[in-house]
Amino acid sequence: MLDKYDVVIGLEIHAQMITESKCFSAAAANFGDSPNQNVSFVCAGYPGTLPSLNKEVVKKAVKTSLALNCELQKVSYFARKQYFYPDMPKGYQISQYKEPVARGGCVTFYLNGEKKEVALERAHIEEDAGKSTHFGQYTLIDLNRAGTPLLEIVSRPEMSSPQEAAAYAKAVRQILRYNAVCDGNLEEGSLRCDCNISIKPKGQKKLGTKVEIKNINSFRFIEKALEYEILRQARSLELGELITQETRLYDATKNKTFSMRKKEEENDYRYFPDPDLMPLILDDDMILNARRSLVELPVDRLDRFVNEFGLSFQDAELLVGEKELADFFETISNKTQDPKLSCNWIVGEFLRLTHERQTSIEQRPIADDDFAELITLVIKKEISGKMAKDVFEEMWSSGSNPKDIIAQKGLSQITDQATLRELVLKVLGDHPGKVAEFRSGKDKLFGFFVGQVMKLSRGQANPEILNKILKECLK
Amino acid sequence: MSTLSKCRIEQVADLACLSFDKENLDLYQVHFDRTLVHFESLQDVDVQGVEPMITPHDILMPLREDTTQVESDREEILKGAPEVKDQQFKVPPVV
Amino acid sequence: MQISYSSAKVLATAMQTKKVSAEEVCQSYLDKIHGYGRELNAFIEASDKAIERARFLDQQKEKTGSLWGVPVAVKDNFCVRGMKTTAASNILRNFIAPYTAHCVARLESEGAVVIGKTNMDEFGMGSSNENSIFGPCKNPWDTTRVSGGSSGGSAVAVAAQMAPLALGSDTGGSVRQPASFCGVVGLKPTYGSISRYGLIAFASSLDQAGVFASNVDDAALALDIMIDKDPRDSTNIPRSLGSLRNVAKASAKGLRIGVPRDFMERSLDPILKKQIDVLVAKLKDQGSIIETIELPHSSHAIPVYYIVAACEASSNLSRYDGVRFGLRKTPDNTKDTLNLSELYRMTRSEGFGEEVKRRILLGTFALSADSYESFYKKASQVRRLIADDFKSVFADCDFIIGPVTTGGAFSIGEKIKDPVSMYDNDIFTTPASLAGLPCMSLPLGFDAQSMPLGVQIMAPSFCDDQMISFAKLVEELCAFSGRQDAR
Ligand SMILES: [Mg+2]
Ligand SMILES: [Zn+2]
Repeated sequence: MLDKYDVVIGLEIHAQMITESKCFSAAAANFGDSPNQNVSFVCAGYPGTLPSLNKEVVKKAVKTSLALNCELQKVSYFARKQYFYPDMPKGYQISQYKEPVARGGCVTFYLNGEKKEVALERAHIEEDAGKSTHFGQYTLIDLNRAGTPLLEIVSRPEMSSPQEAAAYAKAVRQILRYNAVCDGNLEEGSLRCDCNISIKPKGQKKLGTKVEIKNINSFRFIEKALEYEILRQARSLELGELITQETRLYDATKNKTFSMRKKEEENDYRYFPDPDLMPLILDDDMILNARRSLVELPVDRLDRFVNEFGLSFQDAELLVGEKELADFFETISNKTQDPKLSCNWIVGEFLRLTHERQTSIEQRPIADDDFAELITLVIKKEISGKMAKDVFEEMWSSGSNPKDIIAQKGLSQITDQATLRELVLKVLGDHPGKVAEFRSGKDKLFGFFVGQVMKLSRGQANPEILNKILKECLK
Repeated sequence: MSTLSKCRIEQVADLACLSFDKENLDLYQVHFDRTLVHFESLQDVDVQGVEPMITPHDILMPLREDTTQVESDREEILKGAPEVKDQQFKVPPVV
Repeated sequence: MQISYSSAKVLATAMQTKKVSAEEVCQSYLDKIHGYGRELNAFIEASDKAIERARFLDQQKEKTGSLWGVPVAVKDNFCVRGMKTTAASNILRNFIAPYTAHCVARLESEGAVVIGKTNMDEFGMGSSNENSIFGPCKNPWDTTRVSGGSSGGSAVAVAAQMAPLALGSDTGGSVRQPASFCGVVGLKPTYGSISRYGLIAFASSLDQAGVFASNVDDAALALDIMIDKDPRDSTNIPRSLGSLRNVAKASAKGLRIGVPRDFMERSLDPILKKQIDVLVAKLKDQGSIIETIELPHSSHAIPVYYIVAACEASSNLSRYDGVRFGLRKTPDNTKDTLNLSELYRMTRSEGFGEEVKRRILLGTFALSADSYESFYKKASQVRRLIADDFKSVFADCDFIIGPVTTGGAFSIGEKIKDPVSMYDNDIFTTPASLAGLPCMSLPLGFDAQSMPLGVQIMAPSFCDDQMISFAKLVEELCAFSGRQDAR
């Protein structure tokens, strides 16, 4: 049934921008505090109060717009979106309507290893509402979040699968996090995704009726909600029913969407330019500074890791997932001058221990220099890979330098030829019969001798030098 | 442009969260109609290509430095509220 | 000394030099407010802290501040911390402001004493001060007549010597018209000059604080103090003016003065027309160049003003919802079954007066999807045409001179039943408001009923200083001396 239809998806992402104070007031933008702790007279919409725009909000919006390849609008306007709701103190939300701070733009990302590009419609600045908690008989209002700055990023309706939509949302999140604009926490709502979806018979030009889905708080749920909705709409069309234009809510526990309000029930928002604010005019300095502060896009970094460092796509994708991890990799790789081995160590041992010990990349207990030194010791063959893993665990728990651990535990490799020759001669002397068998052609016994020497050296013999000496002595 | 139906006035009142009893509504309709008739001359003005004037002066909007300032405590914010519970504004159920 | 008829400047000096104590001055004004003032209903509340503050000022060794000890009456739409601030509305009847408006704080920083909060039309919506939950404010020249509005109480406070200075706000004429009806000086500076922070909004793009005084110098002094950069108001213009204190009187010679033809051809009270003609003739005699000017789009100022102001008001007044402050109306016994939307409706329907509701409806209608283009947008476009007319006139003129109203104060109850005819009152004051110009009303003379008449002067934006210097000339030429008869 589903292959008879084209799916058209667009996303509206609301990102809370990280700032000290709120969008239009000097109250702290810290809504985790106890209720109504960070509420000023402006936030509460007191009579006589006026909005004043936070410079940092503009800077972050400009920076993000540049990272999203948008065309910045030198002049943009704030408007009032009007409706009554108790967590919106003024009876209107200050938002940008007809003239947003940025238009166009695109986000590039990989979907199943294939490069995709999704075009953007616009990005605009607006203020967040407070929080309502419903208790059946009454509702309580906390205004801590009211006035928190948001950047709304609106994609064009041009994604064709739930997987693509989720990957796009992840890519946007990654860009926001890379630029320290938003912490991107879907569960806590610092990033919110509303999905617009319509389906139409394959090949039909005219778009189907659009349905908006709200209340999605994880990437997995983006996929699930959209999958459910595609199925629901397809079934309706199969039955010859019409799709109603409406807003639906996703219920994760039931994995279903529910109608919240129909298009006709939608408010007439009576947008008009906010006469309390002047046009927002971006000056060239601000744009230039924002451009300078941009970091390499995650997708570009991924490509560079593959092309320059020869990492596998999977490894590179994993490393660029979080900026801190990618930065960490580049730091270590720079020090060791061996990207591939550095990558293996980070993707392998480092992430294993990070997960096992439930810590984060930033809170890693080992110094970058120590970690790089350990990898360098492996490269120089001063220590075997297997031993290095033990040393690494020891570094993690004690925070000591690898050389100290090696010295303390006597773990360094025996590379001294004379010492190794002595050990080899001792083993050969202990097994005259096997030596004779070897010399008469039983090559396989070479491994036996290696093993014996290793045992004698408690694993510290450097395998390559040992091989060489053993061969000489067995001639 | 003149004469609005009662239904339209009720719609508008609804948007504005105002309600009127029947008698009042009649009076408002009369006033509303008279006002609109009175304002009708406006529709004849040629405004082709005229930029709407939102505010009198084109000044550069000052931008506030991103620092916090505490001008009031929670007690003061909640003091004027008609009903408070658990340090929050209490309202009747939304629906 | 005679406290009542002294200017604010003289009073301040007298208190600083201890000729009279701030307490005595304060008490003398309070006595009048509580005495004959009761009948005038100019004050919503006299301050119970004023005497305390006056005593405090008396105790200070350093008495610096150009309004030292001077009582100032404040329109009840300016927030003053700890005082009831009602905007004459039921919805804010018990609202106690938790902070002080920027301009009031400025006056206080120069030693002024807030003596009380004055009556007004609810949220500034009205031209007669009859739209007040506290009842109409009466004209001291004839208590059967209106004071004008919306800043009626402040105009009356100065006219009847209940305060030497009063703070008002002007959205479409709310300072100039009552000043004219009461025979005092009313000054509205260039839009954006005085921070609106703490002024309860009516229409954001038009609201501007203004001042009432018995003479131009006092008004200029108060203005000089209040014009101050406030980053909390994004529409606050940077100050480009020099000091407004002791501005020299302009010389009439060479001044180019425009008289709008359309204004003078309206159905003006003939006495008013005559007096303006006389004033203009005097200016001409002294060497001014008089030109009849055209403001072709100002004939649309009433619809433009009422649509724009109503749109902004409908939005600005959405915050009065019974959730965080102000009135909450619930049915008397079915409290538990009430839902939120009913709460909103009941609160707002009970909380707002008839005129306010009318304008909220008009504004909501004009901004709704079907009407936006033909009402809000159209009005905003014609607004620009009105402002452009002024720009071209000011290319050849220094000032504009004309009537403030069509005549003297009308009777209480005369127009209140007919909102539309009430709107027409603002025909001469709304054009300058829409353009954001500085403008003043100066006492000119009296009509046949011995009610005061005023003359309006308008100047280009940002030329408040020049307007004041011209006002001093006009003040001298009018030689209005009837002030003492007001009481
Ligand atoms: Mg949106
Ligand atoms: Zn939004």
